[in-house]
Amino acid sequence: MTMSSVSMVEVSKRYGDIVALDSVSLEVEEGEYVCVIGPSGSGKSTFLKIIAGIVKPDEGEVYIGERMVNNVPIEERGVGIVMQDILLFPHMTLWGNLTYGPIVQGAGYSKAEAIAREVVGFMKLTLRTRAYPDELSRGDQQKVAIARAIVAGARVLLLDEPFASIDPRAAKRLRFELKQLTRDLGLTVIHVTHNQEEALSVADKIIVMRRGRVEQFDTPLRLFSEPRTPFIVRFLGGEANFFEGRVVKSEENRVVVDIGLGKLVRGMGFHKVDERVIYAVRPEHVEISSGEKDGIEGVVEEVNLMGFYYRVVISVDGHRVVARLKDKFSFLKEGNTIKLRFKRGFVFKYPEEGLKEAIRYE
Amino acid sequence: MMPSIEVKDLWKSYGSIIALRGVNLRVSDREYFCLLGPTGAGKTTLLKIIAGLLKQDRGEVLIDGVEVSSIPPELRGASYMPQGYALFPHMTVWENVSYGLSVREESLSQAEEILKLVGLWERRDSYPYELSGGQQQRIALARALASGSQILLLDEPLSALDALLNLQLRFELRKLAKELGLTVIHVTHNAEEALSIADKIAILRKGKIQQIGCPSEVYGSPANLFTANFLGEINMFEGRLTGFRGRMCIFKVKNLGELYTRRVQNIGLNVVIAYRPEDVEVAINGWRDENFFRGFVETVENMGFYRRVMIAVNGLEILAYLWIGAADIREGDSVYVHLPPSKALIFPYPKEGLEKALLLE
Repeated sequence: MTMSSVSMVEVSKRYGDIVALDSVSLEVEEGEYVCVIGPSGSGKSTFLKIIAGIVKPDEGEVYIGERMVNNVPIEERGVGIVMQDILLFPHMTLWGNLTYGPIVQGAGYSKAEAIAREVVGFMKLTLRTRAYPDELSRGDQQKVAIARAIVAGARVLLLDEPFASIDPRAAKRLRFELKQLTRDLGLTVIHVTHNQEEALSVADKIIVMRRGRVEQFDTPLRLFSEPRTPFIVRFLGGEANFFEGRVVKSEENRVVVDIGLGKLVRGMGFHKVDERVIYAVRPEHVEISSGEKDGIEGVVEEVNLMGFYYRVVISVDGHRVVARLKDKFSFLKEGNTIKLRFKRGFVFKYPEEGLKEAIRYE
Repeated sequence: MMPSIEVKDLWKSYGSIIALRGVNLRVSDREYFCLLGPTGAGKTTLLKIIAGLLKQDRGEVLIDGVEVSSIPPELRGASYMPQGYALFPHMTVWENVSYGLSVREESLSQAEEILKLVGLWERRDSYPYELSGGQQQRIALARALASGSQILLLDEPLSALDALLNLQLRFELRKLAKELGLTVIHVTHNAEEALSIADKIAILRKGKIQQIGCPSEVYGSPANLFTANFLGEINMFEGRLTGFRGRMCIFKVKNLGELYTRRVQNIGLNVVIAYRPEDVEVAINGWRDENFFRGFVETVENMGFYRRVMIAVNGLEILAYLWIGAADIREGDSVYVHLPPSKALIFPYPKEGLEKALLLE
């Protein structure tokens, strides 16, 4: 563990009957950019607030570096907090805002100015430093808020929906700049967001939370290639398809599953023959060909233009299958019979709670 | 009844701010019509005037061919659902949905039917706070539908939901409207949302309609740079027409050199050539065709089913979307970018300058 890693050991937090965090243990390494995503009410904000010291855990230990910080007040944790609501001091100039941290920490004016100048240079902030916050766009205000946290000496940045109230185009630029800056400065970042695209684009690793627990903590790539649960498949990347099935053949991590669509399907996962399973297919793994080809037969129900791709809904034997295609083939018309094939399927042991509950989102 | 909606030369100001500048549009019977634009474009103002909640300064609103200026909101046959859709917190689901309906048995049984349709009949005795965001949204929708109006005016009905719920509910919403044979105007700032469910889209900017068309028209053949940019990420190059070759135009683009595009007429000398990122091809090896440019990969962002790849070409940045399964490309790689001549979108260089032409407000 190094100076600015962040770890939790069996941390729990309840609000009355509601379990906000349920025995969470994990370690964010120094210099890592980690995003936290999950449905609303999954515990994302509580997770961040406990690291910040705004909320006290009921159980468990929180470490920043090697230091247990459960009883360390916010201002001594070495963390910088940036929220959706931009909390610059409105009556102070930008420069006043930037130098505020070091000055209240007793650094003296000239020292504070030197630090602020360095960070401003590093962030390529071309600001009229005599301006007041409300003279700036929201995006630039947020940039100053981040700079202020860094000037104040934060080694760990805690961001709670920092771009949620900024124009999406400006936010795209800003998130990219922020990633580069924090990488260059070696800061550890924990960034809570409801925006999956944002998380996928900036994060080294992503924490997916659900019902107060960590469902999976992994690189964006592995969340897609090796989802641990059906919920991960459902939550990341949009409308996945789920089937109940039974394993009919098994060889190492490859299985053949009967999902009741007439043809057997192949999938990944270690399972025994006859085991009851969930078979999950992402929409981009549904391959569609014209009616004469080989495959599972279906009828096109809907074709929607989604911008740069198409969403196609196919009904197969009472099931609805959603596919995602780059190009629209001429045979993709409502009512047409087509053939489909699953290029990739994830197979999970059938959960006790049942399929519906296992992928419940709200 | 055939509830079509027609708006003719509609103007509206708030003090010195002009919210609508001569808006014309026509929504056909049973059409799902999306009104798309950035914040402050005048979408809500337009919707409220159609609903009868605001009065225009000039122009006409016709519902079913009848000018409705003097007809109060409740007699227009249109149900308006405001943004934020506040449900009454102290009322149950049933009370929220049936509130305001006459006590005739007929309309109460309709409220029941609609609650069943949105899948929340079982939750009729719950209070709003006991429901999830998506369920609350469905209740608000049920309340709007229960009035029995044939016209539904929805102001950002899905904006409070996260991406996955938005995706699910938008298709349910369209399906419901089609099943009930409703004419819908759906206001949104979300281009993907509009493209995916609308029969027709009107793009509004600063109180003016930029384009009206079906989704594939407005996305594939945007009328101007604003629309092109608002409907999705796009690469733009400033070019100057230097000649023709066969069925192609040749443009000179700074830092890129010669760019060949499909032949266009009367475009003028100075243009902006735009490419959607999904039309930009990236290859490890070059072809001998035209429009190949050498560059190196600056960033690769993995979005699951596609990758956002930024390529630096001679100081220019070109964005490409690579579909799942495309070539394995990493940051720092040297690659070729191909801009297919047929995929170019070409616009006259805007008088006000490129930056201003794209401004949202």
